[in-house]
Amino acid sequence: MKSTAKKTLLAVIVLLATTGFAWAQKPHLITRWENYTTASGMPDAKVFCVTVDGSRVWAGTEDGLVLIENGKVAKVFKPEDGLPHRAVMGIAVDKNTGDLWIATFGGVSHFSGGHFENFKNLTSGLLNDICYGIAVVDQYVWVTTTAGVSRYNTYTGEWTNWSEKNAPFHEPWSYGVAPAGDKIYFAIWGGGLLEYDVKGNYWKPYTDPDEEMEMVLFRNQGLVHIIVSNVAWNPDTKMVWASTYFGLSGYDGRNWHNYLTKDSGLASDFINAPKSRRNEVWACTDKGLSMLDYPTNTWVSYRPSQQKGQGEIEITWPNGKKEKLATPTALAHNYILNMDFQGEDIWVATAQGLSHGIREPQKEAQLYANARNHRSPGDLAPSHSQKGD
Amino acid sequence: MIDLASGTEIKRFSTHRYPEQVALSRDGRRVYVSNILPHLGSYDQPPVSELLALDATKQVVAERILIPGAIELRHIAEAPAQLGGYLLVPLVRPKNLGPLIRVSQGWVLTHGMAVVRPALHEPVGEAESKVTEVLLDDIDYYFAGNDGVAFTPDGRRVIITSAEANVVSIFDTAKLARRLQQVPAEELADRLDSALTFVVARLATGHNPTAVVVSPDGLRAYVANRLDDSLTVVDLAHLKVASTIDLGGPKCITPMRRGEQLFFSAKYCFQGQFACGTCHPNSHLDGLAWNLETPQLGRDRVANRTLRGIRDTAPYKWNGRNPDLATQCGPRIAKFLFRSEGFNTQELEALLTYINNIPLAPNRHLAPDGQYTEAQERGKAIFYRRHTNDGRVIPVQSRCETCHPAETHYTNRISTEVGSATKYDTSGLLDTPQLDRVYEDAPYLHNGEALTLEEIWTVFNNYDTHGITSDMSKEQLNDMIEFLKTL
Repeated sequence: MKSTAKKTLLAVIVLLATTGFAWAQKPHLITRWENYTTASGMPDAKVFCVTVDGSRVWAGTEDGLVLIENGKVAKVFKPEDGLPHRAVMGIAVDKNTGDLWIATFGGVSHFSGGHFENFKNLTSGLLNDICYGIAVVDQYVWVTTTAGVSRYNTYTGEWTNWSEKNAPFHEPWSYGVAPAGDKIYFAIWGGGLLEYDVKGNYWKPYTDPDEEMEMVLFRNQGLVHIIVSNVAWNPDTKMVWASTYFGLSGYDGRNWHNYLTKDSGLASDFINAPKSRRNEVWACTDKGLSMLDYPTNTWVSYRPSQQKGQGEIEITWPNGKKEKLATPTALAHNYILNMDFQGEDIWVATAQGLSHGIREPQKEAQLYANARNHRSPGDLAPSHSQKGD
Repeated sequence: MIDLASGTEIKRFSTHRYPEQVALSRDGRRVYVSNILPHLGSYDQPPVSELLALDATKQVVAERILIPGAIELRHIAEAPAQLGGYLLVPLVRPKNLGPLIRVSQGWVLTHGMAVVRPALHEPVGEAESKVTEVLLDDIDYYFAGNDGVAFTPDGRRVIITSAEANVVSIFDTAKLARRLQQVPAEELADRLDSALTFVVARLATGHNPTAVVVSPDGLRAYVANRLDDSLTVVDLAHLKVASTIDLGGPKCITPMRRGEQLFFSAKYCFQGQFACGTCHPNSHLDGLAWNLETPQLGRDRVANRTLRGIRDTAPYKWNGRNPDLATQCGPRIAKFLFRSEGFNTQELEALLTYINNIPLAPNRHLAPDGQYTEAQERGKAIFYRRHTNDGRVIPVQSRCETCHPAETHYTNRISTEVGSATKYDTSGLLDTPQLDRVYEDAPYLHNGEALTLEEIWTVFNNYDTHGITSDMSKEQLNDMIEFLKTL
């Protein structure tokens, strides 16, 4: 009797654990999209970047800086308002002061208390006026430019520049910047990934491992390709993610983890930017927005469907099976340039507008319930440590 | 922002140039910071100053409130809630775009205050606070150096000090409100007939009254006379000076102290329009370019220059025609600037003693032990270089050290043409400025056209007439500027 009870209890525990685990493996879904386009007040269709600051959302477009607040376009800033250039490529919030630092094609701007203070190549120590990425770390503002990387010390006014002249830049054209604690990573177009050690004041390049080709020869040999379009740091997993025009690369400090469309659920190998937090790795591609649930190796990709106005979710399970779900709303466009998180929601910069992706747990459950091809517990993914290279 | 418990800095906000006063709003929601110097801007436009507003709860920048046409924002007083909580900020309105010859017609420098109605919510993009400027001068006499300001607890009266007129003015806030209602805001900033409608008393103080507080019962105002070591006690019920409290300063007035009193006294100027210290706040500069040298509109405009550390840097003026300070501060000031009798011999001697001893500020860019950073060290090598990057010898006259030798405050005291003259300048031959604490002295070049040190070379040295710099990389120029900031 005792033995039977024990067996029953064990079976229940196993059942609950496996069932719960199976549900827990299902990645969260963005179920609704609200789009901001020229029709809703955006100054230009092309949105290069988006940065969330609490309830405020800042978007950089090809024709100005946009503030979204309370679900609408609250304000548009253009050069006549003091912005140094109409093309806004990067936006960073200084959490200490609440100020914005803005990278444009006409230099860097410090937006504080309603006014722009501009820094250009001719008026300051900024390396070049064509600026892409920007980040604020303590008192320093880091800017990536076509000629290398500039750092501005807001306390002393000192500019420090790095390029092929004084750092291991294979190419100077710098796209992205990602602060990572004591290190800062830079995405270099044609120059791979550069790591700057803040305390040690030295640089470490990550390029193709054999230094003969532009790309890796074996799957997880190193950075997938040296044309790096952007970079992101995940503070939770301590991994750095690099987007290239030939795949996605992640580096955990020891091993590289590369992803291509041919062996993952990535929407496209042409990736404009990555973003990562918790167990999520997002890739902004030219064919949609992809999200990797890293522990389970499950992919979710979002794109507008052929049905006008409707969206498509493609889930790629760890066993490679794909499952498509339909949503009544869709991303503004499938060409994705950048994104940011706002709680459980996301904001996505696309070539045809800014999209607000909203997670609705009830609708998510319905979508999964209606899906024909449920994952079975047997589809559980091998962990990345087990997967090997 | 400092944590008082631990004494450590929590965070740092960028103010504008020379932050002067900090004030916490009565409800604790805002912190305001005034700035002495205006924004760096186009040299042919009126100046714009800034009052920084911080959100005290979120501890972030809430708004940068622009005060157009004004410089030298000083103390900040907030009206009681029943008056709407507006702010009063003393200021100076310079007319630097017109020839200074107009001193005899007045209006070169007027003195007043900004009435600021702060936005109560976080502004989205444009300045949301409302700013009106009102003058406190009379039609035939000016009250220079407005500095301290305080409301009575009931909000009925305001006491404001004129530090360079040695006067406090007391005005009626209800009458001020009427004036603000009756005259359009865009007119008020230039109306000299405002003060007579709301000022109820002008009382003499000691030298350089810079601050004022009112007792909690509203019966007394206490005025700090900075250059007398005394307090003037004002009886607010009877609008008269009740007493003067001696704070025990030295009884013998040294030439230095006397000179400083003279420096900050406007009584030597026609109708009391300004003192030396009006254009040289904190004995430094006002950040403006003035139509100073000739009476023709727009010709020979020159940037104001600091008085800090100027001993041994003669000759003076941008054209180098003043051989010594005695000429500059004696007959030239009297006849050309003050349009008056000026200082007598003893006064001039005291004034020169003071000016010759104005110290340089401590250098913010040099380590306490004097060690250079790597960038400063590299910049020093560039400053003293004798060859271009491609190995050509730099002619002696084009080397930095030739005109800016270290042993004489980085000036050879000789006028030189560096190619900065424009068609509006009578001569291109210009005095070589000293470079001590040059990072404090923006705007640069004789006419103030270069707003940053970088612009001296990136914008205004296209033909290598101001040193050979066209071969420099951006990194080299940045390094050289880091070195210049250590001087």
